[in-house]
Amino acid sequence: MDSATKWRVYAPSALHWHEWDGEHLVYNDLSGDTHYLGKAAACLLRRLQDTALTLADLVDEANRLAPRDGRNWTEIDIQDMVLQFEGFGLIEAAAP
Amino acid sequence: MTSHAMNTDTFARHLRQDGMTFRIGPFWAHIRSALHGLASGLHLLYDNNPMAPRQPFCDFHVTITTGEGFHRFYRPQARFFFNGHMPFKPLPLDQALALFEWGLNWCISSNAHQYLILHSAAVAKDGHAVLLPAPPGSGKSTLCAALIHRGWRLLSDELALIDLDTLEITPLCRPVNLKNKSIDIIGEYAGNAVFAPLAKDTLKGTIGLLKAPADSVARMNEKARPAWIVFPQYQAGAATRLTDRSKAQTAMEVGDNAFNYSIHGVRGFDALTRLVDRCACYDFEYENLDEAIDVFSGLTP
Repeated sequence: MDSATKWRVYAPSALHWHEWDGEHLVYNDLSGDTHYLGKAAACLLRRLQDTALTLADLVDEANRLAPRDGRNWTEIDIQDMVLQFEGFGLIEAAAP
Repeated sequence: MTSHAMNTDTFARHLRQDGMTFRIGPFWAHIRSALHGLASGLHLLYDNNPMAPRQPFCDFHVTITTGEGFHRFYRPQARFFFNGHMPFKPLPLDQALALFEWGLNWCISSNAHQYLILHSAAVAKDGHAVLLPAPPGSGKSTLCAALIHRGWRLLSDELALIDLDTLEITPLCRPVNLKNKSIDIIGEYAGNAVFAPLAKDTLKGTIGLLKAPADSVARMNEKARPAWIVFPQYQAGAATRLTDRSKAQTAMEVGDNAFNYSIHGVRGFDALTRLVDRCACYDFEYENLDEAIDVFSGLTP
């Protein structure tokens, strides 16, 4: 994955959210799919709904918004998440 | 009127000639068939439901016939038609009643999109409903059958009809579909349980259709408010245990168990999340039915 690539939500207005105790559901009105997200994934997807971010930006955001006990989020962790988001049609690479 | 007013032969004649129209929950279903075994089964199971030879409007028009050609005589078959189309392969003739029940489930779940339709049993007490969504083999119908013979009102065994705005459950009082060992378990447990003749060697094993309680049928226009979502799991030797479950995961599983969630789009998501918001959500392991009933008696909205 190109570290310079910025990611953003494909259709911000298509995402509908609901939260219970740090667990999130997001409904994508374009695909009709509902996704279950943990805290970190939800925080990052919400950030990408607001603005385009690089992988490094996302790692920083994950460690700021959803810190883990004992171990920081790494690029490998977040890259997996980004690829899953992309696979679900939730995000896309922003035009440079 | 109900079919109490006529004997089985008269009912069978109506069914064969012009068909009979049954009130089943919020629907009118027109059924026509010359199969006497089906007629006697319907007469037994639905004799408390309002019915009429003619009805100006029907939601579903169902015809069940014998097989064609040599299947009229050799390994005789029953065929299910909905609006003149045959959506399923024929089944052996002695499974005609089960075919009717499964076919009607299909008619409702494929067409009644004014509701969010969950694959779930639902029972109610004092206007508060428990939803029991679960995959086949979980003991959902067994638990449902036990509950309705211990003071709970049957709303539905298979399809919970949820109003997308109010979230109320519209009763769909139909027979409870029990399989294999559950038939004997409920036969012994309920005492007064009424079953149609068993359908053996179906794809699901032996099927026993348990008649809905008369009181539940009489109250089929009385909606109930969902208060609990309980995922039952029958487990031989298991201690009776009710445990909290994640609301987000509950919403995902209830959505996965819905027949038409995706059809409703954002409105379905909104209804699903409000439904889960409103309900206490549990996993429930059980083996002993008396203990299970005690646990359900202790639920407070």
